[in-house]
Amino acid sequence: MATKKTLQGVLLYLGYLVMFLFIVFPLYWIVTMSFKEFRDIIAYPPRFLFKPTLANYRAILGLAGDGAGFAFLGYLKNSIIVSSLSVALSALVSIPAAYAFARFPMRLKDNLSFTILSLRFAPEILIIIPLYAVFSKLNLYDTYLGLILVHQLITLPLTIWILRGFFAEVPVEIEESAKVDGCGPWRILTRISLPVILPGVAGAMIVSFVFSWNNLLFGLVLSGPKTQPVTVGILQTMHFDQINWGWMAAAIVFSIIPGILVSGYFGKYLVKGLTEGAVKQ
Amino acid sequence: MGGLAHKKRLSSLCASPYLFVIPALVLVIGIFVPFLSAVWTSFTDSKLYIAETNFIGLKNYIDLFRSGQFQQSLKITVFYSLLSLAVQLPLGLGVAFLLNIPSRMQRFMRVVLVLPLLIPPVVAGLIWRTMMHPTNGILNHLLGLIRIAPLPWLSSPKTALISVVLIDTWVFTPFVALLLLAGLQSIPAELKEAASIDGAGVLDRLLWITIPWLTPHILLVTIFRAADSLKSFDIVYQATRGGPLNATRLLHIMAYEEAIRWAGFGKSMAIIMVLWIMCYAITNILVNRWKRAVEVM
Amino acid sequence: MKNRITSLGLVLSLVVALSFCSIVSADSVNWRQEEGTALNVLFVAHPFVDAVRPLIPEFEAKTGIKINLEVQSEVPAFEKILMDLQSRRGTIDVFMTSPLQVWQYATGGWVEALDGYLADPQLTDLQAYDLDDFSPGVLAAGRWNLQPLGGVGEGNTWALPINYETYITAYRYDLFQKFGLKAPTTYDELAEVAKQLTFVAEDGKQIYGVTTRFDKYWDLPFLTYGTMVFSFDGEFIDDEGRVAIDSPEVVAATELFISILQESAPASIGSNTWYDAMQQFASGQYAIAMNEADLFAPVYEDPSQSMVAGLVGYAVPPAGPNGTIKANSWIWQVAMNSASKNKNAAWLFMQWLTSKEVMAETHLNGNMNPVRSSAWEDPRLVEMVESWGEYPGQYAEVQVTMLENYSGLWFPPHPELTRALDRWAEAVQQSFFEGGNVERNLQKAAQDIATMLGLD
Repeated sequence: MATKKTLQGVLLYLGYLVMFLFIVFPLYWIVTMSFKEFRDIIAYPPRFLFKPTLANYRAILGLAGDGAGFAFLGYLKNSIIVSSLSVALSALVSIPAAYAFARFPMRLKDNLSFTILSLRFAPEILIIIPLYAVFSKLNLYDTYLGLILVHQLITLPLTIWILRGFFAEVPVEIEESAKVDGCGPWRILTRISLPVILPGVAGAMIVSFVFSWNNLLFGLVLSGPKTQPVTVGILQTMHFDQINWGWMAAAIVFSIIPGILVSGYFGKYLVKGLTEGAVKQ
Repeated sequence: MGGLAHKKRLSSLCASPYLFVIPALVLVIGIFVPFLSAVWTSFTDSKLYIAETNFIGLKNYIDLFRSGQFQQSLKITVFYSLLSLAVQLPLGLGVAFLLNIPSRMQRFMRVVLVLPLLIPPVVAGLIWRTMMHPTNGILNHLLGLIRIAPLPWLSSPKTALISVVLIDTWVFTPFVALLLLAGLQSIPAELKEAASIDGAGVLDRLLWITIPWLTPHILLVTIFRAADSLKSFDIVYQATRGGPLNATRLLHIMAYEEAIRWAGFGKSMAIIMVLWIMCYAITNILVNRWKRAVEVM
Repeated sequence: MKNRITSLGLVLSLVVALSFCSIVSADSVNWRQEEGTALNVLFVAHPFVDAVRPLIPEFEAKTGIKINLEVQSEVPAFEKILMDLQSRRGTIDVFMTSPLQVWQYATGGWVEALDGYLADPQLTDLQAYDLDDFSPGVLAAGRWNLQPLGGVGEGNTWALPINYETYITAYRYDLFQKFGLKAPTTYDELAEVAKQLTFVAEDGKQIYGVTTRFDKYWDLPFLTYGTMVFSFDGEFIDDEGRVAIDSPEVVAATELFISILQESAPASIGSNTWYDAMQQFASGQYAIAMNEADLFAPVYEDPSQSMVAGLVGYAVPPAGPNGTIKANSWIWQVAMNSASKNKNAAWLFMQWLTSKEVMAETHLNGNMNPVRSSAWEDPRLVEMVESWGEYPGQYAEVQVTMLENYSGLWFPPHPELTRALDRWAEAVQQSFFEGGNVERNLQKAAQDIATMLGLD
């Protein structure tokens, strides 16, 4: 039995190692790039050892004369505002909707929910051209509000459908007992069902945050100098005469941090202990 | 499980379930106007730089299905999606199982898992492209260290498509794994306890509890990955611009070039409509499966 | 075909000091007439923008006009400009562009004709602005009478130039000297030299003879490979108005182009982008950058960015079999949205931006190459590029020779030109990858292009 345990442990860590290498190597490469001079980045054979420099970070933070006007923290702020509020709005709207789709018999239920889902697979150039005209007419161009609204296209279908699946799996018996205690549907939703599906909510929040964070086209076309997100900022390191890989890598390193915090925070709720407690109550 | 009868009684408590849905719908309706205008455009000869447009019926569609380029792009697109799904679903499932095993590193590995998702696909395409460069890239250099002949990666029409699927896999497998992990975590403890009291083995539990429980989650992930890979653009465009020699010219890339680079708006929207219909049909089938799977629960 | 810009031209005035005197001349224009206006400006990420950004506060102080500057890399910038122009909302007032795009925009009526503003003494001090100071061909590239396939340099002015690049040979003179070779003057020589320079160095490193961009994109025929085609006396459209990319001249050029790449470049060349070509040459693994952008020289010559700083020679691109040398050029321009609501302010900005003083200042901070003669004569600029090349002054010498004799805009204007050139590039790639019949591939492309341009 002991050897079996050890064997399992070895296999587990072997699995971790493979996964770690595949995932982390490109990231490791990006991080080293962010500390390299251009000549070390393009060198062949590729360089693992080099004289590190902070010039790339200075440039994208607008501290060096070279990157004058390139203040990456501004893009970061814009992205944080747009993505977190988009996710929050989606969650707020999706939780009741997903619950209703999962629980209540509605005549148009399938049509409605499928329509919402189908928004998700609209190729972006389909809507971006007409949307641009609408945005500039309504003065939504280059505003946070406009971006948060359009990001619902990315986050809303994802959140509703993930949550709908989780709500559907909540045993009806749990709700029934609450109903006997005299809870209304809102109370049942917020007190009983929602705590049970916290892993689902966490998963949905993380992935929709990430998809919103990574979106390029909406930010590019519908935002101007005031609200540009990090993806647009990162791409600005591609100059007409060269791709400034070092700047790009440094910009990526910065842009990853909020995502790590978000997934670390919500990741807590992906852990079983919490849900078990909720179910047993 | 007899859930239906319960559901009916439950709903009688709430006068209007539509109330729950209205906010979501309001946000969605605004999108339909642009969508309808795009449908109309696909039946016209619209060029962005010519103000006047004429209705030309199905001509754009007929031209498309006659063109060899479109047929090739259609084939590539389907192949790309199938290959992505075939690789990413099993891989994601495996990772989800791996990260579901309690261990000291569990929490750390979950954060690691999310990392590729935090790189914008556009940038992932570019960075992977430099790593895959046949003469100057790090990958062939590393292969050389273990005496493996250099691979052409993105530079040959024969290997380019598989190479972009590899990038896609790096970026999106975590998405699959994350959602399946959340599914695994939501298996009610009672269900597992009951099973272990019955004396079910590991394999039994996997076959009779875990997999059935996970089926709707797997279907949902498939829905999103199928739709996303059919309309894949960012990664591939940055990595290859559709080349070499059209080997990775997916339908979305074709539509993009038509509209943005060549200003052929009508034709582009026809391609987009074909893409939309494909997504719609496939998703529809999967959603019906999903509903059945959920109702079984 | 007539009516194309045959040469960018360059008028070097003998009296250097003269052009500087004119700066001091009194302005007849009231620069504060549009005080309080705000302009949205969209530029393409380019050394020009980095150079001009610190100067913008001067303009704002001088005029009271606020500049909201947005910078995007090339492809996203074109996307966004297209979105805004076609929407006719006039969100973007002034933007960076190039002839290839302007031919599309002007056809759509999206760009404002600038002639009225130039002629209005309330708005323009022509004497200080000095139109004659621009290289005539570069300036004329902004004019077009809207006739498909003709009339560049005639009709209205749609855009003003801010810099240009042209396509030359950059070579590692240290390697050339080691092998006792001279910079190639014909494409046959280039093929020969490149083969010799494909070798394994003492340290076991593989050196390749050539690099250049080679992917399925209009920049291939429009810029680099196109330079070779035109030097072979090939044409895009011949005198009878026929698409001529399947002529014996073009076929010969294409066959040699492919064989040079097959013999002296790695197999992966078939997916090389412009930045691959630049980085490969800067990494020291390649002996010649064939017909590549002269704009890359500042990177090559910067020791923190390149392994070959101080080892690069520059030469006029090789001549074709009949001794012809014709190099393409890429011109960056600024243009005004015809839907702009702040046209006078936009014009004041454009005028200031392309003035002698501002242009000269930007060139010193990396905006290459100058489009005004006065800038070429600026001793500070001359000093900056002095050390570039195999011998002192080689880069500047090549530049001036190119401008005077060889660089031009050899393509006729047409709004569908990008589509046509993409198709041409596809035929060249086909010939490379499928090892197929160059002539047949080009013939098919020629037929398709004729349809695209409405010539069939």
